Amino acid sequence: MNSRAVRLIAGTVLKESLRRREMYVLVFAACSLLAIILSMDFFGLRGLSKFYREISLRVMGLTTAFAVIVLAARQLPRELENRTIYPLLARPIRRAEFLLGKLTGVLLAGILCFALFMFIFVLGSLRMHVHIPWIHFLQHLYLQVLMLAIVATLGFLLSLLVNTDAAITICTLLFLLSAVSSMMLVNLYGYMDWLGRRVLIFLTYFLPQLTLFDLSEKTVHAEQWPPLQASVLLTLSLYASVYIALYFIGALVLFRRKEL
Amino acid sequence: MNNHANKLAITILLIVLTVVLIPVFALRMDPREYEGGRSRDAVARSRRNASSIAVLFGELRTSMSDMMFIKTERYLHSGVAYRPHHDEQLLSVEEMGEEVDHHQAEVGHDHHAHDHSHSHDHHHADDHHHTHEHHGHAGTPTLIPPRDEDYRGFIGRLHRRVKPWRDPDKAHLHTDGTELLPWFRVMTVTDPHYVMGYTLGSWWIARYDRDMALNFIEEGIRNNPNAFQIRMARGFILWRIFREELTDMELLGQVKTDFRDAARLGIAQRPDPQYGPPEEQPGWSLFQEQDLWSACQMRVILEREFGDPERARMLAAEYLQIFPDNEVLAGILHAEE
Repeated sequence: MNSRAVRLIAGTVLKESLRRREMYVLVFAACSLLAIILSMDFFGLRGLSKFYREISLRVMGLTTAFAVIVLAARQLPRELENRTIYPLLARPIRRAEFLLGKLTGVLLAGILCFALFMFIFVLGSLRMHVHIPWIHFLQHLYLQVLMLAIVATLGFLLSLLVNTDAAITICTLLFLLSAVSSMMLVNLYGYMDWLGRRVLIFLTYFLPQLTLFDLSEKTVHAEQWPPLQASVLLTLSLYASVYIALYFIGALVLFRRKEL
Repeated sequence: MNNHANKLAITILLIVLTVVLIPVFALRMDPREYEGGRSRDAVARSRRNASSIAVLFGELRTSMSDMMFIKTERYLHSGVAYRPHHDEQLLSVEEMGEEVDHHQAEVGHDHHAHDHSHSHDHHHADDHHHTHEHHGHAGTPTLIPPRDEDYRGFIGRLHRRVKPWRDPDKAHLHTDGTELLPWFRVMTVTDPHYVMGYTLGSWWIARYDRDMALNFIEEGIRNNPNAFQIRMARGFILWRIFREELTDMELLGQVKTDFRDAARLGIAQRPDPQYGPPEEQPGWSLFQEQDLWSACQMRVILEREFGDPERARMLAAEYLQIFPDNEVLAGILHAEE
């Protein structure tokens, strides 16, 4: 594995994402929304931490996921359309390294997006005298990065199977509907016959349950709930790794088959 | 380069156009234009909702407010998602107040805002994390099922660990309701016709600042001049203030006016009982029927205690024609006789 090549490609993706300014626009729009909501007067009461946390984490998660989905789904088609992939692959870089570099770059862009939000969140918390439950908050960020990695690799895979717009749409739907779909599967199970139940079990394991990477509710109500145990974080990391590996291998197989 | 410049020019043009057009659209938008879903007359609703803005954003606004209302229930349970069981929508306005008091007493917040000119700059960062185990609702199913009812194996286990979850057989973890207040603000901004947001919200706000609660109700009445329950909520809150000293006759006058207006509006809106029980007819619910019942009762009681007993008797006779089973009204009528 040529780690220098991976770093180089990742750096290029990160620079490109910064140069295109899409992320800034998203962060700016999200922060403006946050500022409008939080500047509302809530009956003169101050120090209402749960509402602030809830809105901030939701906006943060949505915006970053959307930025990562768009970035990931566009990477390969754009390289192919602009033919910028040819000089890159003419170098001694394997396709796996190329793909890994792209994934790393996309995730770094997502982490940068999170970092920008975190900075604003912390500033806002200090200004509003709101307590930050750091352990919960950092665990939530870690799980969100795992979730972004799943979504990004899925974006790569789908962008090689369908067109870019479809890939973005499918990933966005999967992300937005993750909480609803998980609850729907659970609640439908009791009403299904034998075959229907087998289908639900298949869907439960086939689709990544992205809601498992959302610790925002416990972070909002952190005063009542302890942080996650290390064993739970480890299990979630393994669970995410399986999907990341599967999607990555799938994308790699399709990418290798692609005639350039 | 030329292509890039064109794209940039188009983008700037679009931004400028958007900025210019926003005030134009805003002039045509009225947040009170839309009448949302629950318990409202279908014909009136469809007439008011004819505008394109209402069609585009109306249902979304109503649904958003409903979702925020569910959110308030989760906040009271430390984030645990139970199947709806509080049934606030089935409580009358008066019972809502009792439920709020009961909840806060449980979590050790049984103080009321006594001072009418209370400071508005409360700081609740340190005192709103009280938690209390409430056994009354134990057994209410959670949305995430317990292990023995969950087919998902380790995914179900992770789900129960990551989300706020508690065994349904255990007592509920109730928390202080202060943190709900922003949601009442946002839900009524989103849908200014969300009557329940105003009635329940005003009870919660009144615990911290009665002036604020009364301002909130004023806003609710402005946005919903025909919603008799909001007038009742104001009547009950002012009644509580009056009961503390029993001296402010101006305040009592306002209480009587609120219950009078609530009774008048409610009677005018109540479906004709000749077509069946009103609470079973479209556009009217059990909680509206209960509220109207207590508005009439309160009006008569206030008139008897602080006004003209003869007029109270006449009112009791009048309202008994609407609610022939009301024993309180019957008692007042016969006692005066």
